[in-house]
Amino acid sequence: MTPLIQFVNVSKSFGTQTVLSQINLSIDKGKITAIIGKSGVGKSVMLKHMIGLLKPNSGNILLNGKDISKLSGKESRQIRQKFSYMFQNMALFDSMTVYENIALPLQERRLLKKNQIDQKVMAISKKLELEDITNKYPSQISGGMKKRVALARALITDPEIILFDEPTTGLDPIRKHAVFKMISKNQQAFNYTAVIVTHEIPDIFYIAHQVAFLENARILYHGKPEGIETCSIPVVKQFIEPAYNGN
Amino acid sequence: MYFIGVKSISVVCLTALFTGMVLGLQGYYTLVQFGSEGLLGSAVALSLIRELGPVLTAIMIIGRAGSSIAAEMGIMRISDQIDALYTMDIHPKRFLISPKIGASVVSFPLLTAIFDVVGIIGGYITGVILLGINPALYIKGMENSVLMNDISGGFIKSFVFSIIVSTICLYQGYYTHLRSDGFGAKGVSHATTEAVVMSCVIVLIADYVLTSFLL
Repeated sequence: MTPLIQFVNVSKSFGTQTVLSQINLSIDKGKITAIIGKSGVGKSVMLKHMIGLLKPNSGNILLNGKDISKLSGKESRQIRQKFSYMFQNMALFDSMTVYENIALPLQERRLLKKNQIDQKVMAISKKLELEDITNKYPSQISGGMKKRVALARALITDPEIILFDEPTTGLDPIRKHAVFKMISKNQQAFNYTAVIVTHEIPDIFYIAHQVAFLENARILYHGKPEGIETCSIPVVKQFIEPAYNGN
Repeated sequence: MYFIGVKSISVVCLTALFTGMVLGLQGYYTLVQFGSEGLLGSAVALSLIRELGPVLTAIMIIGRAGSSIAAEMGIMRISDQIDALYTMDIHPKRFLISPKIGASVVSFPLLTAIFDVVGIIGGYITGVILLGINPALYIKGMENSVLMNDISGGFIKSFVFSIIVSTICLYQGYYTHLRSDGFGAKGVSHATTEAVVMSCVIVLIADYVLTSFLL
């Protein structure tokens, strides 16, 4: 079966710094793939390549077997409508209220009536415990609330592919667990494909179907979560052991 | 439109009033030497309608709205809000840029017209009320000398200035992330400064070019 997203020999540098070097990675449709690694190693860069925010210096990124760099404007638009992206720094529109932030993707697509949009926004706000702050602006809410607003905005359009860039950073353990549970539950219900960049190990291993470990511009491990626990690569072991040992 | 147009009315009116008043003052003391103070109305009206109205309106809007637009775009850029629009398949240029250019194109001529009217009133206050020129002379002089060409020329200038100002300010803010002279907040501040300075300079250059064609 053709993977949904494929990185084929993708390399990316910023100036003299190589962030990705000959990356080969497959993301399966209908699965949750976690990309883990040290801070600043290039995980978010990989995510941005998937939606076309960044273009590789060399190599190809395929979506359903098609090279995304060769798509026409119309095809690119159709592809982007299937995606949703949750930014690491939330990227909320600070001149809009929480309600307006969440509703914006639906309003701009103009496929639903106002009361339908209202219903969807209030439903997801309630799920993420945001219903009391819908009329507030991002500068008036806490970091954790902003994270949930960003998550609500990512989920509101019922996308086929969702890219999460550190969705639980800054949340308390209870909300962290709730967010992962919601991602997993929604994924099972709607069968979307999720790619999650995170540091939350071992929590992510309970919901991810595949794990990729990025280090030194290369994928050192790609496989099932169970396999990474017994991986013999020293840097991988060094990364995951503290999470299990509570250090 | 509200931010660029409506909220600029007060600053435009204030600037226009005092520009007109100082024109009246300077004009009177120059013209009275030749016994031609009756031409004050013509002098004030033509100066405002042909030159000072479009140029000073543009400069006031640059300082007020242009800097704000550049800063807003710059902050949206560095905080990934523009990228967020892209990921939602909302074209950032259609959503952010086109409405601002459209609002500028509509607002500039209207504000220029307000500037001209208030400036002429300012000249009237100084020339007629304070310095005692015959009001009929002031108004008649204006009526006899201001032609439709002068008014349309002023509006052509304001239209061109609106495109220049909005394009430069939006460009500087939108591409803040590509600046080499600073990142983050520093980049935004440099982008804003450059937007204002460049807009002012190019408006003045364009004013000369347009004047040479229109006269």
